[in-house]
Amino acid sequence: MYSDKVNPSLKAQLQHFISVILHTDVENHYKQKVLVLAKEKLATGQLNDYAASYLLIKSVVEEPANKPKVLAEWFKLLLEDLLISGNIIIDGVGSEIEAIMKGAVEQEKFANIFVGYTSL
Amino acid sequence: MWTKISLEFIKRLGRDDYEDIKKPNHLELIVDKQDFAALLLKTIILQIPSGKQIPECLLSTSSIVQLDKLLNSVKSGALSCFEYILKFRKDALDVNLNKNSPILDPEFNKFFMLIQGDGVKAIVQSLYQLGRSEYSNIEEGLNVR
Repeated sequence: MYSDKVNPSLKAQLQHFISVILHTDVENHYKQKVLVLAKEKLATGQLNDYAASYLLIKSVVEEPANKPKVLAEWFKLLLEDLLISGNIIIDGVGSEIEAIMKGAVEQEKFANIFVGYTSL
Repeated sequence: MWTKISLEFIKRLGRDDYEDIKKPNHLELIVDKQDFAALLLKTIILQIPSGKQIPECLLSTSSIVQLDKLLNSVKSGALSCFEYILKFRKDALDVNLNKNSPILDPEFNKFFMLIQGDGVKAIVQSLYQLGRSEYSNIEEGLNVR
């Protein structure tokens, strides 16, 4: 699971998708649906899905039109999944580091192992 | 991106009008979450025990530039979350507003509680160790311009 690489094409598609949803004058319940989708993706436990979810969440949180009151509701909705995914990522990085330190790994590979985590 | 999202949530929720004592600040939703604060702290202490890593230093100095940049950028994001909440608390105390806000209460504010003791000592120790080390890639490793 931890060695999944984030698919650049998927990222590009998602950014496009997010842009359409969030930067047009849509009703708030559509944005709510985006958050629900992000929550579902976070529950899958795959790095690609985390990357996708984080892109969605980041866009929503950074959207100036969203009021703190609304964001507070979203934070409550997403907190548990954000914590679970965050812990999985950090523990995953920790495991990678441990595995590397146990074996002889060349410096280049040493850094490349973390490429899958750069978007997370 | 995880730390960026966390920071953005903290900034946006803290931006509400905390000077109005009748209105609870939305940041209260975050500061009492010990698991959240602990996860950010866990990010800050993550490092590679390579031969080049400066001992007792929270900054990643493995000398693998790509990796140091990545880890230090994540650590910096996590530390910014603590920084924002500490600054928010200090500002609220300085202007002597909303004395009853739970954000000022060290027992309620888990971010403050976690960082004020060992956290601050570890940060000071890191800077001290970095300063006396022969680490030559500070600018690149820390992505400082």
